[in-house]
Amino acid sequence: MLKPTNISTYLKGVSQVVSNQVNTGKQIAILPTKTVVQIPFAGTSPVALSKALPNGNVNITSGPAATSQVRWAHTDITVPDWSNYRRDSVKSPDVKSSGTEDSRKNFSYLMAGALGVTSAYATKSVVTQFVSSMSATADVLALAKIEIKLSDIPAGKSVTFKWRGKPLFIRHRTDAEIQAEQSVPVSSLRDPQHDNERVKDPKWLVVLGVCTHLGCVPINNAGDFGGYYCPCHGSHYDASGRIRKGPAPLNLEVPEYSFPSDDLLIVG
Amino acid sequence: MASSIVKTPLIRIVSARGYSQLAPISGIQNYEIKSSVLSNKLVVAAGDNESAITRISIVFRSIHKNSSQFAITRNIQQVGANLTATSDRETIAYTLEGTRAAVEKALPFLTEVATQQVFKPWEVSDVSNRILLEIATRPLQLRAVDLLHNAAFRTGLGNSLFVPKSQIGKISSETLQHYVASNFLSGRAAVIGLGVSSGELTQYAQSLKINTGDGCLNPSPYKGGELRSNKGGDVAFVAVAGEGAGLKDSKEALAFAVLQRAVGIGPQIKYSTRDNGILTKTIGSAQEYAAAAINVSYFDSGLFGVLLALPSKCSRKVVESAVKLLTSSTVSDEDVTRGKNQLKAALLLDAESGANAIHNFGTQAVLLQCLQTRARSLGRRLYNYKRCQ
Ligand code: FES
Repeated sequence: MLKPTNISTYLKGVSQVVSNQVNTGKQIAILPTKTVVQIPFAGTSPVALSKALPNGNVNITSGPAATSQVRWAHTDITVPDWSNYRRDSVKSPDVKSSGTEDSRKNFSYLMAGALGVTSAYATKSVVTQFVSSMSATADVLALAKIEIKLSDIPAGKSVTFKWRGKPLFIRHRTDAEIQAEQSVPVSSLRDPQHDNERVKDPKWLVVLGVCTHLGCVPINNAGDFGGYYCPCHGSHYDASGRIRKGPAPLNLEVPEYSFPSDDLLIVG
Repeated sequence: MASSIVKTPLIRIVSARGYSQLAPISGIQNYEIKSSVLSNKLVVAAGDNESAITRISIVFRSIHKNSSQFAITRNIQQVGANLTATSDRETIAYTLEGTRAAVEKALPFLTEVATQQVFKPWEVSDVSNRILLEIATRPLQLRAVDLLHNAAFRTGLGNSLFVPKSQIGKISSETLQHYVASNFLSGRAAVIGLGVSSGELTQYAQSLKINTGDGCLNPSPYKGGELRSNKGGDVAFVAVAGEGAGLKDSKEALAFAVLQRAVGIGPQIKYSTRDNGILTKTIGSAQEYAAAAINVSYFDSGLFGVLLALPSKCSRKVVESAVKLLTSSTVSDEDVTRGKNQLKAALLLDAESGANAIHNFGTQAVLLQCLQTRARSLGRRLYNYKRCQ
């Protein structure tokens, strides 16, 4: 099989780089990968060497706490670069940072203060917006106040108005009525309140026309006490709107009101 | 630094000094060693040096086969003790050290590790990677000493301290078990304690379950030869040695120990490059090198020679003069005096460290079956020692 001309290829210790069509039968050697270890070496100076030379019996110690440690050094961990977050004045390694300390602090404090105020204001407006949505609507607020011309109401008469969706009784009391209500002993009342506590001007009684029992509208100038009478379950109120008889537990409610002038009453 | 010294309150220095005088951590130095031989020929020796640290060592005489690693028990570290296995060419010592309370707690582990070894196959295979690394990273001067032994004794003492690379991963747990069963016998074992009372230690030694027997010891006679290993690098380590004295001839061994110091074991003063020994004087200081006399004494044989570390390119002259020194040289009275003084100082310093002391006691007890506080007795004998070469 072998041709004499090809014999020389069998005598050379080389593997083929460019194939010459001759199968030499040789395997290209594959070297096993060998672990390379760095031997810890203290140094080559005579002092270092003489320290490292053993001069007697050599022994090995091993054990849970005596055996050599192996630590892997991970060199592929990238160290984060914070320079984007640093002030320009402290980026340079050869400039003292203490020189710019005051200006940096001032800037920080100023920014913090300004932003704090701005954000507090913004927070306030947002909170107000949400909180105000819970209060009365505009059309209700528009009806929140009622102005009443008092000269239209003759003495001894009780007039009913509509205020905030509820009936409002304004009663122009006569002197006799005032006298009678002032003299009622407080201890005899179910909801003890003197007449003076319920009126600002004794001539005028301002109460809500809602029965404190279950909310019916009492009738003017009716009942045993000459004030109001609730027809639903029979509550009797006097001319000061106080409960005197019947199931209702409390006196009629007195709303906020004022007299800006002699002739004018504003409720609400 | 200076300011911190000033700030240290005087009272603290005084109190620290007071405590240290009360109970020195290394214990007292002139303690007595009480040794006895149990019925199963187990040598027990205890010295209570009143140290806060207790060390208990179980030593076996064995021709070294394999660097041994045992199953790691975290429990020992949890109580704050330390358990190590130390082996040289003739002995293997399992030593437990720690405070008295910790040693008491960890003692069962020492018993287990030293006398009831279990080589679980997975644990044996686990350590092979670590052993590979440790073998690969051992310093060249250690290899030089290893090769020196190999050339001098061939087998027995000539075996390397390290398991051959080719054997790593091939030694099965059964092989290890067999080795332990045939070598760890009561006739060639000793239990040594420092900082523990002799009564307690004897009691502990009696409770050990060590197989009785003497085993067989093949003496490894000195043969001689030459070995080289090319490891690359700029520095060559050359060890040249002849047969020294064994420990059984203690007078000879002592003579060689003095001779070692007389020849010089390297600088004895901080930051100095050269010692004042004969070796340095012979070689001269014309070129950079480090040299030390080595003296190793085993039971029936030993090695005496020099170990040189020098730039590999110009090693020839230095090695030649070192060999000349070993083959034909005279030692002056002055050299012997210096050697004696150095040896005395070295022995006494050595004995101060509990770890060294227990290693010394262990070697003596297991090889010579008798014990003396080496430092003191040798020191005494050194005074009477006359120049003999
Ligand atoms: S609702 Fe007026 S009495 Fe019941």
